[in-house]
Amino acid sequence: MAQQWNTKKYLVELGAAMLVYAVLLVASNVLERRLQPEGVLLVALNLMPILGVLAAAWAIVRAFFRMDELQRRIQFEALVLAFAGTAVITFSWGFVEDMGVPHLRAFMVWPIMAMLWIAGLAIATWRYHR
Amino acid sequence: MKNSLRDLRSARGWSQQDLAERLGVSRQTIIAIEREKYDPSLPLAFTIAACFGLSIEEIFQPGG
Repeated sequence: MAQQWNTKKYLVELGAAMLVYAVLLVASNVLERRLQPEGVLLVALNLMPILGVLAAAWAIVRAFFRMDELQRRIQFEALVLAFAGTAVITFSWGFVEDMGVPHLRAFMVWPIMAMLWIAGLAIATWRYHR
Repeated sequence: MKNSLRDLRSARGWSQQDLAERLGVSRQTIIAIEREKYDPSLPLAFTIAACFGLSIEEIFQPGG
């Protein structure tokens, strides 16, 4: 029951953070178009949605500290795969960029890591529950 | 490490969920320990032993 409550709590916190992100993203676009700011204000407006990302990060850290020891171990193994795999992919891509492949945007790094993390979670979960 | 967690739990008529709640861990952790896929930490092993009123050596044995 406690674990189910923890999962619900995490989903509510993460959902709220993603809602904050979406609202701030729309607000920053609207304000930028209306106010057409320059300099520091323009940078601040563009970075506004990051407050939602910070809230999501806070929800994830809180969820991690509510996990039991096996859940933490599974997360650790998944993150090791994601960390190492992202290094291999982004460094390899960086080397072949010199040969003319399209430039990899910084925005792409986290989705790569997230996909490897999901694969890592599936592998680690299978290892302990097969 | 081998363990007799499943037998001890069944003897008391507890489900995996019941035991998980008593120990403050997830049911998946109980499943992994019972299948001997995961060896609990020393603090968790002590908590398990206290829950059954036994010593660690009576529940966990080397090997496996």
